[in-house]
Amino acid sequence: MSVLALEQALNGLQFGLMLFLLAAGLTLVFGVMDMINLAHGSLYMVGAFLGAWIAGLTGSFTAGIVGAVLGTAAFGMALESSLLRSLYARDHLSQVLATFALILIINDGTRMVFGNDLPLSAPAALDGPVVLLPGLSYPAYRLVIIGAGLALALLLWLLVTKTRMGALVRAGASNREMATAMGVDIKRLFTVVFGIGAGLCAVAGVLMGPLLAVQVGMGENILILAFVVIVIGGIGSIRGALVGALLVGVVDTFGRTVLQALFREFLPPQMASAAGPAVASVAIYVFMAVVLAVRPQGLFPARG
Amino acid sequence: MSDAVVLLEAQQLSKRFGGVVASAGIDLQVRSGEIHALIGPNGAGKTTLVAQLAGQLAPDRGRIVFAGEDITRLSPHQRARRGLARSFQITRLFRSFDVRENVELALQAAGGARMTAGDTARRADEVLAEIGLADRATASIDALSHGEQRALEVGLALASRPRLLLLDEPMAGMGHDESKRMEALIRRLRVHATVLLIEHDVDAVFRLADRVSVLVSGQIIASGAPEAVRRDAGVIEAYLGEE
Amino acid sequence: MRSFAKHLALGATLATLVAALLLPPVLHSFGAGYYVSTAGRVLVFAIAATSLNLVLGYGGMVSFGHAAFFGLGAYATGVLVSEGVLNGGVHLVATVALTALAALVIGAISLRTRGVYFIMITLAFGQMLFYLANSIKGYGGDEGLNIRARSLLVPGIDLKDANHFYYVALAVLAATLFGLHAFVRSRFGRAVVAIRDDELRAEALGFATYRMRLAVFVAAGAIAGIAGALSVNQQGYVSPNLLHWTQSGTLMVMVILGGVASLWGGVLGAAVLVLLQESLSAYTRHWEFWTGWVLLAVVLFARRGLAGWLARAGGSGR
Repeated sequence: MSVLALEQALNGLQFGLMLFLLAAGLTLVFGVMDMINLAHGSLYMVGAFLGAWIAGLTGSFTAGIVGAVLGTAAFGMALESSLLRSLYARDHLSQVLATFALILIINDGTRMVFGNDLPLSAPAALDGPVVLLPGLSYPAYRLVIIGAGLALALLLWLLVTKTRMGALVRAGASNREMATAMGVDIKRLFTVVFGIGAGLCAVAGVLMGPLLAVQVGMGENILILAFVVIVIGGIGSIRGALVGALLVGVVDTFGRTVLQALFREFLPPQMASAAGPAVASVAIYVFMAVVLAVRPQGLFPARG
Repeated sequence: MSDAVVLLEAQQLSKRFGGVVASAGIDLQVRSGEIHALIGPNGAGKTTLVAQLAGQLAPDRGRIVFAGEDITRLSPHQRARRGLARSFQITRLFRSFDVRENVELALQAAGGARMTAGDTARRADEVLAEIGLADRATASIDALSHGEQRALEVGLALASRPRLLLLDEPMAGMGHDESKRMEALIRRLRVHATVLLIEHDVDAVFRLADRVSVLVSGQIIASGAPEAVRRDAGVIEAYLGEE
Repeated sequence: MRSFAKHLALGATLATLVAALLLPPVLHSFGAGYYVSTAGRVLVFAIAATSLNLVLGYGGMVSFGHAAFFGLGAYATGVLVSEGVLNGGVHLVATVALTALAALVIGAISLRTRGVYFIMITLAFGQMLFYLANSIKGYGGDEGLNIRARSLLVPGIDLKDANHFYYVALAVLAATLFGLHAFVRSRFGRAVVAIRDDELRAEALGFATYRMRLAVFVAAGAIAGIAGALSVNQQGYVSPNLLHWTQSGTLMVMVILGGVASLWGGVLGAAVLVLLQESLSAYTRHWEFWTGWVLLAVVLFARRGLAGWLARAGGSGR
């Protein structure tokens, strides 16, 4: 039982770190540009498709990731500088309508170019398990995901706290007027921030591809979780995104597995099999409701 | 020494935000029928105090008593229903409606269900005349000048004949003539209501107020007749000396 | 001058009503009877979109989980039918009760938040209901629920008949629009719009803003539920996808497209989106792609939606 718990904890960590990659870009766009971008999940999908396509062509997973990051970042920046920029000044509803339209266009566009799905498998070298503790072996690939996630989180932390650009972004996230008043090519800053967010989405998309399947529409489900993460963590805060993502990852994973196991132990089988999945998927939202009841602005609100 | 009734009283109101103490045990008494002014330098904590009196912000410690009732836990709309009305420093009007409809909404909000349509219309006319906007009744909010908007701002608060009017910098951003008109309006209001006036224009305050309280760094350092406050050494040092 | 505009509006409304009543026989006479069911679909979405316009346009609450009430209503009726309970009256009561209760709970929690947090929390709650619907294995789970029978209303009305369904749905839509019209002109309605304009001011004046917004939220949810009950009767099927946030997004798109805070906004938006989908999918599999571009164009060039564009085109000011 405790081995199961440890394994699920690692799964939760892994899922949480990937959620963080999505949430980080989302919280910055939201916090700095005050824009609701429903198409953020589509960037995740585009990244996955690009990665799968390049990996399929070259036979190299690494080439897939690199290509996906570069391609998606470029795509994201082109999108930002052409269309999204004109939405910053608009009200949230217009942003909803426009980015919703983008989801339709990008989804169907991807279908037209690549078809409904593409195969993507983890590199063969990482196929086997790694023995972490006596009795606990864990898939090597998932360990790599955890490692990549942690590395990127560290990189992002360095970027935001130690660089000038990071300082500008943090200032912008907590006070938009100040950010504009500071001059210094805000437009280019926004484009770069958006590009970084897109790149992070792509990493998550390619890494999760082998686990969740690369298919059109994969972005819509994970987008909601990303929104839940930034609401819990506090809009505009990278730290909040990380904490929120880890919490959501763990709660979701535990909800699905440990909670179900508990139900099966203590409830009659019919109830357990009915209640288990229902409660599992609901756990995250109950958790979010509880957090918001106690701290309506999220755990680490960037804005005062 | 008058033994006038105390209508609104703040007792030891305290509020801190993280490491910043905005209200450090504020004691304030507003007597029935008077115009009581609250002045103080920027950053003194006036906004926080107003928010607590109006019910937007809950104090960490302390009580607020209105007409003998402890209203510390009451929401803004409950306070309004008991006759504690406020105007805002930054104009807040209902832009989907014209001037007259704004006043009617204010009447409806304060319990206008008891008023007939005729009564509401009559009262709205009275209010519009009072604030000098009788000929602008059908104008949209966007068509009003800044001074007219500020007048309507106050008008909404006094529409329901509140017992206490909390006016938050009613003369903010006004030119000379507009300020004079607002001053005259506030003076006329004394007949109907008790006024707690938050204002920066110290000269206007000393002309209008029966009593003045001075808020500095979250505390009331002086309170009394205007002349006494004006000569108070502590006040001069902390605030008026800068003028 | 004002009275002329009023008469014009009344005339236009009556003309629209007459046209709507004549639509099925006209379509049949052209051998295009198939489109009566399309019109029926438009009506169902028009009711749902109008209910969203109530809470979003007039109430100022950007609820991104509204489709959940639509889907909940469909399930309430669908489950009852599949269990053999066919009385339309029972369906109505059960649907309204369930969706109103859900809206009450969700609204009570969500309305304590503001701005983007409100959008997110309603989005999340809607998605939560989606996952719940997905997991009830007894009623189809992720595959959805098929029903064979339909709600029994009045003897002689068979909801499986597209024409009968059309007129029933039209009646519900007309009632909804009439109710919305009365609401907007009522004291309560004006208070709600004032709260939308400036909630802080409204509260400071004495309006019980939380309670009033909650009432609107619940009413809108219940109306969406009724639309859902109609939907399951029309399709004979309800899927958890009806509660998915993308469905909420679609409803929102209809409202924004048709005109936020306008009486006919929901109807216009639903009509355009459904017809767009129908006409485009006749030519191409990728109708979503082209629909997206149309929507993008509307956002960029018609800022107040189609109702606003029409109002301007008709020369009437606001």
